[in-house]
Amino acid sequence: MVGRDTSQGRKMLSLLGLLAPPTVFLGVFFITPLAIMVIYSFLEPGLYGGVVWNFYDLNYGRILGWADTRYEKFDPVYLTIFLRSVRLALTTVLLSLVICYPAAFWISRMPQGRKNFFLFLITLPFFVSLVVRLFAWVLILRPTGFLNQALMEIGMIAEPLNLIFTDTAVVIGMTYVFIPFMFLPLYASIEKLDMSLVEASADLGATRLQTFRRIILPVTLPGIVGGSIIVFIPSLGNFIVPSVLGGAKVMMIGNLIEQQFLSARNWPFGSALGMMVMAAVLLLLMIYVRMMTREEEYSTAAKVKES
Amino acid sequence: MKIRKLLRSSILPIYGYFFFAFVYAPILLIVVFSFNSNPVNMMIWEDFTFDWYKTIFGFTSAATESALYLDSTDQLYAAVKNSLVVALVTTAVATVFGTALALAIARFRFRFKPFYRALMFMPMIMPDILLGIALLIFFVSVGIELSVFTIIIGHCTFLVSYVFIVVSARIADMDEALEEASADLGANSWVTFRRVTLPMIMPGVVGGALLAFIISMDDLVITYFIAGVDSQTLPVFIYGMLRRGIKPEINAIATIMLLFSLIIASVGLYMRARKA
Amino acid sequence: MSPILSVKDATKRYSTPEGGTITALDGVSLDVQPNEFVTLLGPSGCGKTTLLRTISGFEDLEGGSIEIDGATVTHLPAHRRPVNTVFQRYALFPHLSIARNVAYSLEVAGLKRAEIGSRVGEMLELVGLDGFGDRKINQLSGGQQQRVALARSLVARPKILLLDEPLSALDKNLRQKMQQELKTLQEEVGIAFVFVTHDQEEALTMSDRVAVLSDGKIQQFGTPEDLYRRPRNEFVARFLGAGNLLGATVSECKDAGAIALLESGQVAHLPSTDAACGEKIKLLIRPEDVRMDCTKDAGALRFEGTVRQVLFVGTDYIVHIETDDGTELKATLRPRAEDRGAITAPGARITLFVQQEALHPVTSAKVA
Repeated sequence: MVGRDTSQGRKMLSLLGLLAPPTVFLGVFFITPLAIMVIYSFLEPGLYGGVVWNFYDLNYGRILGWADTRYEKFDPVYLTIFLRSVRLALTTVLLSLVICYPAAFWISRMPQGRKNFFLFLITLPFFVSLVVRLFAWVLILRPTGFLNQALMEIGMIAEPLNLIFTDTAVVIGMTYVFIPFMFLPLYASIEKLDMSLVEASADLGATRLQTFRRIILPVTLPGIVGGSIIVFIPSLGNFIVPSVLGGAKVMMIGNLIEQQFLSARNWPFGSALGMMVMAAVLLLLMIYVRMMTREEEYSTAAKVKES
Repeated sequence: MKIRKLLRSSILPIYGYFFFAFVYAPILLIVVFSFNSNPVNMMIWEDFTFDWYKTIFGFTSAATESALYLDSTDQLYAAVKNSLVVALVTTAVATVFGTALALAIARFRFRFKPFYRALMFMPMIMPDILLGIALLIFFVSVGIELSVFTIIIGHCTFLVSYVFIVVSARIADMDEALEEASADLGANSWVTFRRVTLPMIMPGVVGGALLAFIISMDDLVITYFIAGVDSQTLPVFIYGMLRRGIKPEINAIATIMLLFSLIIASVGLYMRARKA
Repeated sequence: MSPILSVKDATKRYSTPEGGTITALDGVSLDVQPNEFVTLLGPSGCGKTTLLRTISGFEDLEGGSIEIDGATVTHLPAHRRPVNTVFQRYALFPHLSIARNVAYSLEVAGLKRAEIGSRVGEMLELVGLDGFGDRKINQLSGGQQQRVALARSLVARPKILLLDEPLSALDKNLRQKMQQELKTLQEEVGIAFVFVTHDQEEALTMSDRVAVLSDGKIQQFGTPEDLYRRPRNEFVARFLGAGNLLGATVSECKDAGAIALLESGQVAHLPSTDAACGEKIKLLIRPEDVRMDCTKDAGALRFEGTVRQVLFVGTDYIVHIETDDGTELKATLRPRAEDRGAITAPGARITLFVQQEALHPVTSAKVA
């Protein structure tokens, strides 16, 4: 009995030793700040960046449709910016999906050695600094940039085109930056695709398009959904890419939040905007989890039927 | 018929090479034009030069003597130094914390496991900017002055998760019977940890540390909010330069950073390949 | 002789994710003599591996006790018990060389370098791997890894060696070779082996005694021949080897035996039975005890029927017969050359005999 108690006690002690330091650290510097941010989003903004400790729902009101009627009318500009961010993020997801899918397919059918080499090439840019990769696109898209110079050189255009500081530039930039995020989950599910399924489908009389739609796409769907989510999340709240490639012309919700914190100094409003982004991400994840569990239920139901 | 078939079979490889061109051309562009001597338009090739590299390292040269492009090399050096200090300290702390949590979750029975799993998952699903502003509000309202120290704390909060995930994957791959075998052969839990568990999960720990180092070196969003005036890191410094106007030295700085990250990435990937 | 291992009334339950509980061990008691090769045999989920793991100390008992060489070890952690284990997939340390694997227990016990070196050398020689010490684990074949695992767990001179299905990863030929080697090794080192397997043939071949487990209980513990010839209940009879189980009712109990009435109406004289008068039992007839020729034994059972299926397995024919009263009977026959034609054609008529000595009554009740 004694032996058991001391060994249990020692086990508890080592568990405590492992858990306590990170728990305290994350409790103070991770959970507390996030909680304070949530509280801030319900506080009244004070003058010059401070807060007044009153419950105040007009931070959300300004965004969603009820305004402080004493001073202003409701302005849907924030909602517009939010929706534009969602639109640009979705476009980014779609574009990176379309770009990565065939490439992932191509690599997945290579012999092992070459496959590893090309996978290495795909992962490499992920390690290159984000600012550096964005800077490259500034060089390309600027009025005096590479693309305009090249097009003028070959005489296709006389005047530089307005490429940078557009929605397109922002989408291209985000797509470029997040390509590894899309590629790897896609590749993981495409590589698992058993090519004999494709052959079986053809054998049973399906055309290439039918095979793609009925076999390949459903089987690789988890990768598509997974990649889309990890591209969507950082795209939605992004402010670096729009500020570098979109300038003052293309404002996303991230830029708006940055402004509230670093120039307008309305932190409660900025926090409320941040909560909107978080809400959108959580909504997306909830849909994803619902979808996955339904699929699981479906497959377990099928198994029950079998037996 | 034959031509159509040939076309169909080569369409994917052709696309594939375009894909890689899209991924690598912008990066190569920077490298190539970092050697261009044209100080007015850096996208028009004039002549080969090392001048921009010289400027970075503090030598003035013919091209740069007239107009000192870089505001101050001192600021650049300070940023590099800050980045390295932040990345090194963060890596050490995040690696210890992340490994400890991964071990606790994989090898002990306790009630709050779902809570810890969710906690480790949160930085993955939360847009960076949220953590950035939350930390800014926190530091300011608690009265901690923004500095290298606050950046380190900020980086640790989310990099613990990255290390946790890499190490957890490694532990999951490890046969639990190895630890039982060690106990069976007379080793107590500490000896088992030192002689079996730690050597077995070491590749995961090193991999997690490298990842943490690279992400910390590269982080811009969170650092942007919690860096003090005197504590800029390299990404924040370059971001500032980009916003003020593009100068040729950035090409050279970017090329050096590129080289640096490629070396670290290659070391990491090589180690992983050797293990397998 | 006092037992080297004594498990008394061991009880262990697990809770399932669905909220239920599974009783892995339900009052198991077991004595193992020094120098004895004991096998724990049973289907998966019967509790045999749990029993082994409570002996090695990886699992705690909820009730009962374990004694090793007279000392109670019930609550001792694994690293302080004088037993060692050979794991199912060997659990060799991949980051250590073969010699370092074998040396592990001596190193953690703090032995002197010279002694470790000589004992590791002895051990490697014993398992036939001298000269392999510097190699890595992944440079070895399955059989060699098996031997390293054996050397590693024997080097510290444990009082009992526990083996958790160590042969299941090997292919059939190698497995048979290793069975012999293990048996020889056990005789050589002279300690008790407790061996877990689900392979009945393996259990019968190697063991001095076999414990058949089911539902967390020992159904029967005895010599291989005992279990095969005199199974205590239907579960043991079915689990070990093929057999015909014919329904019968005990009609008369005498001092020197009993009389049972088969469902087909035949009368069988049994040497003895635990069953009470009037109880329904089963009669076990092993296929190899079914004969084609009549014997002088007047009380032999006689079955007339039709051949349904014949499998030729080399020396023997396995013949499935449907008797005229509808009973199915399986027989392993080795007919004389001139008789072969008579049985190898399905549909042929056949008469078979079973001697009374070959009948063994079993109860249908499991040990509960």
